Amino acid sequence: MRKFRIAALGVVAFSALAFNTFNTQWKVDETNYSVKFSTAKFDGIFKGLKTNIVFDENNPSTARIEASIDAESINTGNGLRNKHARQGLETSKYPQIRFVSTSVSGRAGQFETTGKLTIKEVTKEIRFPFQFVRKRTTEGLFTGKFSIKPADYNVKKSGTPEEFTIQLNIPVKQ
Amino acid sequence: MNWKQGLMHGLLSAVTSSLAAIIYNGIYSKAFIVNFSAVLNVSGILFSSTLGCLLMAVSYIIFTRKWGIKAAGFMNIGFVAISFISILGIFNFHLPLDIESPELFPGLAIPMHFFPALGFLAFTPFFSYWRVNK
Repeated sequence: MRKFRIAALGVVAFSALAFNTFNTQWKVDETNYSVKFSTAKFDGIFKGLKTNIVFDENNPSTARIEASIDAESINTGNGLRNKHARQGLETSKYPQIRFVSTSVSGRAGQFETTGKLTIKEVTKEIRFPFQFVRKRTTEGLFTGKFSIKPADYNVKKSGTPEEFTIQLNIPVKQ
Repeated sequence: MNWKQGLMHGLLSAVTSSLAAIIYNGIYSKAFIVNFSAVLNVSGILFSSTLGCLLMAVSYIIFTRKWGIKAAGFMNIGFVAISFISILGIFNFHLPLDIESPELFPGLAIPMHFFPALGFLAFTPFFSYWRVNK
């Protein structure tokens, strides 16, 4: 019976260790993250980021990254342009922009993810490089950049720039 | 030419329009729970109101000296027109991205663009320097 208990404790301890090592859950530092975008004409930010990030830099293939952002929160620094952007994104009908990773690869801080980006219920596969830097044992920073064409997601309101470059700066902690 | 009266007119208008703008800024910010102090603050209001009112005063002095009271009438129209045209800049103004609710900015800034001209024109009857210059 004693041997069984020791074995059981060993299994539990190993599972906990394995979970921590291979399936690190990260939470976004909600006060310091930024989701910025820039175009040839203007730039802006999004707020309301919600994530479910399971990521281990030593074993990125097990990673799963899910993120959504509040489309209504778009801020270009100009009220009229914000209104125009919300109309283009139809934020009352499609309140969220979502990303779900399907694969993550890379090493030594440089990674690449492929995933599905959904805007206005139009889902397209995107791939972009990102970096992860562990700041302390329980803190890290994700940074990444990618470009999208609004027309691909049925965002076709007149005056919408052809291309948006999204820049991510997401501090996280366990 | 009565520069003293003209500059007094400009300064009095500047103080009055600044005061009106500062009070309006306070009421608006509290009513709509917004903070645009990064781009619109007391020192900015004082500077722009003083500059605007002194420019109006100097142009009044110079042009009424040359063309009399009719020049004042044309300038009044000009001041109002310039104030009106200047609001177009507010619609194109790009606020810092950390400022929330930029759509409420025009409601604060547009009336303020009229305060210097309003103040100046309100005090004009008390300063009859164009008649002195006639």
